[in-house]
Amino acid sequence: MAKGKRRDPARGMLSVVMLFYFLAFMMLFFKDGDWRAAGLALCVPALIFVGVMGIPRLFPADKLLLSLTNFLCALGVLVLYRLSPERGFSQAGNYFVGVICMILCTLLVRYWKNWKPLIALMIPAAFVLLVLPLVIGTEKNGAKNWISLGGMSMQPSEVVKLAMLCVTAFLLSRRKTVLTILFVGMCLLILMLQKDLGTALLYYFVTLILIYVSTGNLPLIGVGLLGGAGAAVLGYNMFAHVRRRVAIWLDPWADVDNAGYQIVQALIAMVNGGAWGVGLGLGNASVIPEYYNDFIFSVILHEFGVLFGLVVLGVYAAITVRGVMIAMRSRTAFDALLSIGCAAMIALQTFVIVGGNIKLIPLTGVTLPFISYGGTSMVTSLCVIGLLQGVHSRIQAGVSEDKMLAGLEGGVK
Amino acid sequence: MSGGYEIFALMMRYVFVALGALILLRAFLWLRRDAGMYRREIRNLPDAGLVGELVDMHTGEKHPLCREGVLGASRSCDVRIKGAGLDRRALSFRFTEGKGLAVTPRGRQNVYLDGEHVRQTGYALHGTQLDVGGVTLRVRLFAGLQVPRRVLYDEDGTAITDGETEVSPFEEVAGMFAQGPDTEEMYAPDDGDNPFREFAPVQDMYEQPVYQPMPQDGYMNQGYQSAPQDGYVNQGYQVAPQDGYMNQPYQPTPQDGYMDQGYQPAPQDGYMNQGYRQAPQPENDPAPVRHRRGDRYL
Repeated sequence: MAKGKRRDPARGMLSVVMLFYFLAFMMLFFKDGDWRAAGLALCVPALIFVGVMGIPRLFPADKLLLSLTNFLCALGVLVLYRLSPERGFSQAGNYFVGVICMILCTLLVRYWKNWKPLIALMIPAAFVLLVLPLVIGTEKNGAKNWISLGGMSMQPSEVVKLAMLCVTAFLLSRRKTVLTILFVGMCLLILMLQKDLGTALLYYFVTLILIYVSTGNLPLIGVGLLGGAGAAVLGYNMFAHVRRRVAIWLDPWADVDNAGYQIVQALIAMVNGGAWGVGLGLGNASVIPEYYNDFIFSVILHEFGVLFGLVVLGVYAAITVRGVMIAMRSRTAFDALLSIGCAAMIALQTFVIVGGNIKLIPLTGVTLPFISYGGTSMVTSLCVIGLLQGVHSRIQAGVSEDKMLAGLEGGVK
Repeated sequence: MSGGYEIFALMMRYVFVALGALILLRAFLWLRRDAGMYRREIRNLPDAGLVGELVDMHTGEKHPLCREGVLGASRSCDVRIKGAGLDRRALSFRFTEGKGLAVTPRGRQNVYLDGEHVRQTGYALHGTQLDVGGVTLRVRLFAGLQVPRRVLYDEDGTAITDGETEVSPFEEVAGMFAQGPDTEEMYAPDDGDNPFREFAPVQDMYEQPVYQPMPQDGYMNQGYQSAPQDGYVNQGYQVAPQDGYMNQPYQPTPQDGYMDQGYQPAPQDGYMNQGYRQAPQPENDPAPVRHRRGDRYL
């Protein structure tokens, strides 16, 4: 600021991201001669440019978060288009819906003043949404967490994630720790009944992190960890599919043709990829049954290599660091807890699914944020980013108010 | 699949990894640059994130007041006052736009705002006196925040409720850009004609000081002055009229006596003293008063 106008760092970042996607889609065009790929080679970079440079002009937004999430979302579109073009286009549509929801979330956090009635509305809504799949849901991969409404299927536990972040942050900022534990405990109980253990794991760890951040109460965290371990043992003994998952994780080769087929194929694909990958368009990762959803990270490792996989994880780390940065700058406890929760949610979700892919931890059915195929997951992940951006814009407004009060620069935004 | 494409794709994988590494590098540099910019920005704003300060009326100590937090004797408190018999966590406060500083008692100690016992939550405005656990604090909120003015007495002297937002945007802006005080109107002429210059000496500083409000009374102490004999009270301290917040037409209750004892706005804090006159430094600071548990100097 002091030394004249500096160059916008978004331009340097965007030029690289746009070049990346232009080259990648042009390669797919050369491979099959499919004109849709050539169209995407022009459209995707243009959309990224408009998304990163245009949205901050109209709405409060953080360009760093926007460019990183756009990179990841476009990576999802690229990988899905390469394996099945229909899914790629469908994912692009999900991305549009997600961006609109993200802007709505940003505006909500930025301008909504009175959160108390909203939270009072969110708590029963969260319970209703969580119970709904138990009543009218369909079972998928052992977990009964999908509902179908008028031809559209959705996963309520993903949407409840947002409500859970807001409610937990609000209650903890008002120092109502017991109420928080009750609320999250109820949610966890319903999720256990749905057998949606991956999401339950996420809720549990995010709540622990938030309680630690807000109270610093280490004994309570210890008790929480013990309780979680007890619940894990209980779940292991209660649910057959949990036992099966753990057995697959311990030895996938015992039952290669049935239960262990998926993870073994994923491991083989990753090993084939090696450090540099087999090359875009040359792999055959579609032998993995759930290549578009749970195992998309294995597909990325297969075609782009382990080094590129590390880059993707680094991008997630950058998003998390940005979220923590926003939390440390925020002016109220609610803002800080909300952004810490969002950052922890994205980081933990990435860890759980990537760890499941590379056989570090047992596989649980959560999605890789921004990349995995699926409308609900995409919309929710972008909404989490929207919450972060709302907090960020509140910080900006606070700083500009401080400047105005100090008489340095004028104007309230 | 042609062999040409295969070679092309095998070459391109290095390009993709390089581009990815470049994206990561740029993200890292961007994060670092942003952190540096934010740090520089905040360095110019020493009061960033604060909404005011709490002035200890006995020691004169000023505690910066953040937007929300806990006041008490514990080390984990946002406003920590030691050695005064305060609870570890006495009360929690939260700045609410348009309402003031919401104060909620959190311990077993009674909390009083302007002498009124707070049971659930009370709102402190600029100038409110906050008593808790033997500590008497004056709440000062920065000018320009969206807080209603504190009105205790009408012009007729009848008590009216506070909590009305009466500051029009125009008034606020006018207060913000006011350059200096209107000397003729606001300051009592310092010659022998001023009937309020001379008072009987005050024997005990904690007795009721003899204050006489002047007709143009603003907030702090224009107009009302203590006897010169009480050492440090009457330091020629003057307050400007246009500062937006400070001199809303409310008149201090007699209990406000501690307001101008050795208490002065900081000279360089940017916005606190737009339109203030800085008072001269007192020669001798008063000896600090020992707090005793349960003391409330009302």
